[in-house]
Amino acid sequence: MGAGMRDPGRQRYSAAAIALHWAIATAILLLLISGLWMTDAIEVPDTRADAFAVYQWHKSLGLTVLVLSFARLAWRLINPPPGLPAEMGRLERLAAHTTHVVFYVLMIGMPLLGWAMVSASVFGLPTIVFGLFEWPHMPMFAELENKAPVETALKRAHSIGGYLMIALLVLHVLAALKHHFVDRDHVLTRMLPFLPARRVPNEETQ
Amino acid sequence: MNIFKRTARALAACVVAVAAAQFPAAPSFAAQNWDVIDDQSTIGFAGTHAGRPFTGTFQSWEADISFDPSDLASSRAEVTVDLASAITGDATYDKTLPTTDWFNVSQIAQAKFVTTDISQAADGRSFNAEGLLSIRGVDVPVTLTFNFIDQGQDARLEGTASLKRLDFGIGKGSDADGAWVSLDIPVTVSVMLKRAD
Repeated sequence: MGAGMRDPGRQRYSAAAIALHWAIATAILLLLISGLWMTDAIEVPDTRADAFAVYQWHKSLGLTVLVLSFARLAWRLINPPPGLPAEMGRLERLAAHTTHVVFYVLMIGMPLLGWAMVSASVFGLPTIVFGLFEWPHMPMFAELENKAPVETALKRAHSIGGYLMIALLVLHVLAALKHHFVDRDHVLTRMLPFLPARRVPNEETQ
Repeated sequence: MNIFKRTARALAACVVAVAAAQFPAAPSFAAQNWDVIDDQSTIGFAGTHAGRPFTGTFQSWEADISFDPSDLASSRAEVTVDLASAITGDATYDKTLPTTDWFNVSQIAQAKFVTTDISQAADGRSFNAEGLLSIRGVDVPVTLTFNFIDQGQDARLEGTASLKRLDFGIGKGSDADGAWVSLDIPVTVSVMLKRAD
């Protein structure tokens, strides 16, 4: 790559941003699948014990997303992502920005809601992150006099957030595919790992 | 005036308490005293959670035991268990057990079992120790059925008692119908004893 005015790195997300994106994406996918399964399985005697174990693991994974999302947000503020293709219209840009803002709200909001919900649970079960160390409860919820109604409300919100996340995920994937196959721009590939830095036109690499 | 009445009542209560402390109820003739050999003795409990069995032990407890198979009338035992010392090997259980709805160790840290009567069991070999077990400040009559194997200087005591956790209010706030944790909690006692003076 030449030491020109255009830095090829600007065409792609940075390696750290790509790693964080896919780590968080994988975790969110597992969280959605486990969340959908365990909330039903916990009601069935045959699967109750397994569901209980999955809940503990779901809590750990959710907190991981919380930490990674803060890391990603911080990284993004220091290393702004590459811009959108010039061909995109105003509405398209607005849709893209809105989707990403809502993603960040959910990536941080969902673990916080889950944490609040666990803290307000009448069971008072501790959260042992991947069996390694205890994550504290939120005192404002753990010390409530009457936890049950608060827990119910938080559960409802967490569930709605989960479905919203599924909808957003579908939109995100469809949009990425549209960019790649219909618009034929680099919006999808710039977030794919293991690709060489995008070649800048008029520049011979190697 | 009410305040005098109250003061008088409080004073009377103090006098009774002090008097009671001076004259503890003691058996007229003590049976053989035994010391517990800690590292060869366990008090364990078991149950199921979500239908899956678990077992646990108490790491810290002590027992005052006077026992003579031929003098059951003056035989007695008093066991004190630090409830916070319960371990099951599952961090989630272990962190939950001491909390308010379960053992509530911040209020009453210990469980106490004091025998009221020890008798020969119907099988003619084992014994029944009837007593009061106090957990969370609730006293419940409990019978510990045990075998006593006299080995000369040592003796082995193996016993079981079946507890119903709700009798003590254990977990009544979060699991009052046993949907999660079994209502029946068998307790096993396996103690190595050594003759004491």
